[in-house]
Amino acid sequence: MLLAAGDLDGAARALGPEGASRVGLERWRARVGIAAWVVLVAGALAAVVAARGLRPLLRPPVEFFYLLPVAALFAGAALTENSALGHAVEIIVAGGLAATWLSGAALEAARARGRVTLRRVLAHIALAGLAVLAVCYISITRERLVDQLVETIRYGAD
Amino acid sequence: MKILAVKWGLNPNSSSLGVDVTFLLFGAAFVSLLTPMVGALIRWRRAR
Repeated sequence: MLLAAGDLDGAARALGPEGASRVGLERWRARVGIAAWVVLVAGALAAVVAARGLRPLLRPPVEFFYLLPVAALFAGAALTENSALGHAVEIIVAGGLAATWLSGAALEAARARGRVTLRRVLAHIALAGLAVLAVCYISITRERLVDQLVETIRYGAD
Repeated sequence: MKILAVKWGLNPNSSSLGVDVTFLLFGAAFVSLLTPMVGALIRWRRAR
C-alpha cells in the first residue's frame, strides 16, 4: 500500500530490513522516472530551439496525420482492457504523437531555412526515440505495470 | 458457481500479462518509436 502510494520512507519503516531491497528498487525506479521527465522537458526545449521559436511548431507535420489513426486504433483497443493497461497505452500513443509532431515540425522548419543535414536528422531520431522511451517508462511506472512487464518478458505472455 | 465478471488480459494465477495486452503495449510503443524516426529519414532523403 505504502509502495503503491509512493511513500518510500514509510514503506522502509514498515517493511524493515526484509523489504529494504524492494524499497531500494522502488527508489531507483523513482530516480529513473525523474530522469525520464528531464529527457521529455529537454526534448521539448530542443524542438523549440531547433525550430527557432514556437511558431513553426504550431503546424503539425504530415507524419503526425499518418500516426493519428493508428494511435486512435491502439487507444480504442486499450479501452476494452483493464484501466491501468488502457491508461498506459493512451499515455504511450499520446507521447508518440507529441514526439512525432515536435520532431517533424522542427525538421520542416530546418528544411525551410536550408539543407537538412544527416547530423541533424540523426539528432532528431535519437531525441525522438529517447523521448518515446521516456514516455513508455513513465506510463508503465505510473500504472505500476513494471513488475508484470518484467515477468512477461522473462516467462512469456499468458 | 456463478461467473460475475471477466477481465481480459489479467490472469489471477499469473503475474505475466496477457498476449493481447502485451501486443497493445509493445505495439503502441513500437509504432510511437518508429514514426518520428521514419519521418525524419524520409525528410532527409527528400531533401538530398
